[in-house]
Amino acid sequence: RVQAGEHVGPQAILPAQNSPAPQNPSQTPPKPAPVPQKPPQAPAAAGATYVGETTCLTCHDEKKQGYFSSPHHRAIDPRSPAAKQGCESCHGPGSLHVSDPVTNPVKRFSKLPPDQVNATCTTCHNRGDHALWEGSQHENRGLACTTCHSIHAPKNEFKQLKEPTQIKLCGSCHRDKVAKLDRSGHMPVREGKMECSTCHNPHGSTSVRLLRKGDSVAEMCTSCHADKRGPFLWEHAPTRDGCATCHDPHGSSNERMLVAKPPILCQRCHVATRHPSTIYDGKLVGAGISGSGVSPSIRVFARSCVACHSAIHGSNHPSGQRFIR
Amino acid sequence: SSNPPATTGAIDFGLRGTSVSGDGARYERYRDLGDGLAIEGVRLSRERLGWVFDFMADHAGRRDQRYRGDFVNPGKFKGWVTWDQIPMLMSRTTKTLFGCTLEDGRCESFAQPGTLAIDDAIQRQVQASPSASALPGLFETNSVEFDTRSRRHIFEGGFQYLATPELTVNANVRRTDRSGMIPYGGNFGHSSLVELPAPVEHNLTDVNAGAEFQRDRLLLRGGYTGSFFHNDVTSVTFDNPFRCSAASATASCGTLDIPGTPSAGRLSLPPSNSFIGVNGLASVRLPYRSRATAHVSLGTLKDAGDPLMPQTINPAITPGTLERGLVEGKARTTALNLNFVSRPNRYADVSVRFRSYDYDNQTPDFTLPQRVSYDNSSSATPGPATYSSLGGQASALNLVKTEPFGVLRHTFDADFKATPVTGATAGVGYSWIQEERSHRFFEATTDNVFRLSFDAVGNRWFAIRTKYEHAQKRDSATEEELDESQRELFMIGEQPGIRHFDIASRNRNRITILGGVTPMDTVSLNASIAVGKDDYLESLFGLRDNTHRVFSVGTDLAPSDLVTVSGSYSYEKYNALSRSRQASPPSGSAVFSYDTFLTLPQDSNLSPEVARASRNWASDGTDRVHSFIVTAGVAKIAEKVGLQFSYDFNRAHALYEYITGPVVDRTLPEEVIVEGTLDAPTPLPLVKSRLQRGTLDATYALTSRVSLGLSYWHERYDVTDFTLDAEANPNLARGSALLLGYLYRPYRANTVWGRLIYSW
Repeated sequence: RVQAGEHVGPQAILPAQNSPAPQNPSQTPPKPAPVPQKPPQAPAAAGATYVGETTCLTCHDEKKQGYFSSPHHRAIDPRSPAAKQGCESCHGPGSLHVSDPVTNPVKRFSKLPPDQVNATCTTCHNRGDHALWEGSQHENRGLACTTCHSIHAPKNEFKQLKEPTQIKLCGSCHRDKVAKLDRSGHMPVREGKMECSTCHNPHGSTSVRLLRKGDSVAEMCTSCHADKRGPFLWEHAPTRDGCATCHDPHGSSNERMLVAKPPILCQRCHVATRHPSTIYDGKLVGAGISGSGVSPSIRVFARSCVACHSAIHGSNHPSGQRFIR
Repeated sequence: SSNPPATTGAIDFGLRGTSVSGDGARYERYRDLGDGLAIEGVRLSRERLGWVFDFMADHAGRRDQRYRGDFVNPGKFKGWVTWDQIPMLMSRTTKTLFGCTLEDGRCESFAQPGTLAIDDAIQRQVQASPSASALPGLFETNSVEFDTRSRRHIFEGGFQYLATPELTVNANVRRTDRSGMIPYGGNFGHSSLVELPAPVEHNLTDVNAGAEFQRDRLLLRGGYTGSFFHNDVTSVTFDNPFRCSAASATASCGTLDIPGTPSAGRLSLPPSNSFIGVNGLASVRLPYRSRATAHVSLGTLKDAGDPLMPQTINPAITPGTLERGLVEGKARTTALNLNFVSRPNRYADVSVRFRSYDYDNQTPDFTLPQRVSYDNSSSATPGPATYSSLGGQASALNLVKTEPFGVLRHTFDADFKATPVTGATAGVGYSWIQEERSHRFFEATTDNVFRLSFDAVGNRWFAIRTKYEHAQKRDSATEEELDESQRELFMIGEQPGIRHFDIASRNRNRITILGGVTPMDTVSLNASIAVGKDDYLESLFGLRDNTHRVFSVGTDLAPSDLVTVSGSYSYEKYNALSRSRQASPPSGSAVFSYDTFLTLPQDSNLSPEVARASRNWASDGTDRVHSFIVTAGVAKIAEKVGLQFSYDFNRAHALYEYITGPVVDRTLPEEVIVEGTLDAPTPLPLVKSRLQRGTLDATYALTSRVSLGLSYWHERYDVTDFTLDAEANPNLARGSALLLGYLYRPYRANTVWGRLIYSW
């Protein structure tokens, strides 16, 4: 399944590869490889022993394709389940299950509560991006690793995701954010040049809002938009502490992802005498009112306030106190 | 064998054609869908001698191409290199009078980065015939079309080395080069606007290095971050299309002069800067399924030290000497996180976090010695610049001086959750957020946040997550501090009753509900509700309330292993009400003090405009958005054919209403209720945009390795925008404004390509 408007390319055609490359490598450093202190081993049922994955796959043939094409099956990686106990690394020793499948079910993740699922996965995946999972927002709301990831039937080329794209996966809960990607002003997410995890680490973060970089919203944004970083001689207060005061990073109907249209947006804070507090109503927009002698205001057409106050994020010009130089 | 072959790969390539009517640049804003060969993807993976090599290429040869190579010795080493291009095509129809190098009649590049010149003859003609009607004709005759575009080239390389089973060392370098141009505004006076293609020629180099150590219960991490931004062009000088020289219309246009409008101006562009930081994290697993984590990071942000440019390039103006020659911009950041999580048993869950973030702006204050506006004029008398033109008195409170903003934020979160039965969790939480800012009218605020949640998850048939949050944010100003703040506001021409909403007292209520039902394996239904409102209860002026309502429903159907269908619909509504007062400043001898202002009756139309409640107005903004998405896929038809279909619909309407007179039924009663004396506003046109996008992708498997594909995309974008569409800007040169023509335009686009997919 392909999200409308996304490039219908190999992601749609090729099966999930055993490539560790992230979907947006330019933005997202690969997660540090997990290094378990011990081989992953699920708790053993009393008296059960390991039978090997060949035995498991004798019956569970449908699991082969997903498992074989996943990093879990990369046996040359000594950390992988395949290099350890195979299927039983996660599902537990299966000898009793082999003898009586009905009476002795192995660990089935679709039946487990989230904390038990997570406990199994974080046996290995407990470093790098995953190190802060415990106490993270998603963990606190009862999400399991398997809420987003599928070990046996991933639909994404990378990261074993349950959906073909992060847009679709994250949008299953954060639908309002995904809907904004279709607005006139948006970042290149739907074009495939960014993805949710470019800015967010869904597994936990030391910053706010699960942001991947920096320690504040502004630090995250200026990690790419460093031209807005400053510090400037003349600063505009909202740029210092909250890009989201004026911008919606997920998209908006307004130019440059502004949360409202200038001049109305700017008039939320600027009520000073003269033009900041002027009503720019229908008489002053467009081509003006024919025959009325009323002309459109230069402060409304085109890019409105920022047409003149261009250096709105800050200026080092000595005469830049109003960001017009 | 169950093992995959040592070398695997795939290539997806073909021929593509695109037709667009309307704004093709918007269709291709961040991508390249041009005609010709399209190598959509290449994948190569090889395992040899214990190493794994992966290569991927997307959109090879295109402006949005991306390449990546990985070389991995599993369990020991991982290295990677990427090259990524991100285009940003804003317009193919922008036009300018600024001179440039032509290619096929189009402007390809501007001669000198940072200098935009207009032919002297054009400047002379406009000056000789300064009527408002002269410029459009000259513009049509002499302007040249050009692409407004920029592109990012991003290189990244890095590695991760597992020195020991406990120790991981990693480092990466990332270099982003951005070049091109963006629309920018220059001006030479209060009602003059000259849009220009501002050069974007900068790069950003990020260096990250770190190490992570884990043994038993302990995790330690340390890291370094260096981020170096360099702008090749930190200012742009631009000619004035309206004026050649004051001396005479035939004089050299190189002459800059006053009185009147100068023949050139200079704007600053983003300055070079750097950020260097170190961070450390320690996390330890404790008894009773608990974990404690501490994280600290320290950083220094610096201006690059370029000298301050002169206050003006107009040699006819000689302003007072600047008090220093450098910005000396510097800030230190300190972040501390302490986190404790415990799940002592299956019934209880405790989470406590303390976070501190300090942005300590150490840039020295700077007082402007004399005002110079627009490279045009200076204040009549040399001396400290003030904001008196806005109605304030010349005084120490009114000096034009910099405000190096800083913020210190402390956040304490505590949450307790109980899980009386498996899968059902009820939670209660509290957050305390204290913020102290420098150079703001309210420098300290405290936010108390209370929240309740109930989640029922872990059941394969049904899941629901709910959360209610109530927050109260208040400033900590004393009566004296409040009076001082309002006095300062008045002195710069602002209404003393304004409260900037990011620091204003505010009550917040939010509810989110997210639920899903899966009655059978093949059907799932979900719905969500998110509603909330922010009331800025002490804001007589400024943003007064902000409401959001978001509703969505969706379904996923999988009638068989091969067929999937999903659809979703969402409706969003956002409201924002703000209040202002239209007023001209008192001038000359009529200037009065804040103390006098306090004595003026607001309900009297004899009071100066700044004190008349009858000149109050409000703007009520309402955004309504409908989104509909449906996707369908059939993996196999007759064993060989696969089909994928998707359709997106997004319609956004925004209505901005100006309301004169009191608005007593929203959030905050008026301080003084009087009839408005402002003319009834003429309604603003609705801002509308609609995006429809459909894709169809079909594949036919010739063999197990070779498939043919046919893809078709259709996109349609319609827009009506009272400031940015073509109807609002019928002439790019009108009055005392000259625009580039970067506008919102509709388009209809079709892209078709035939593909061959070969895998091995």
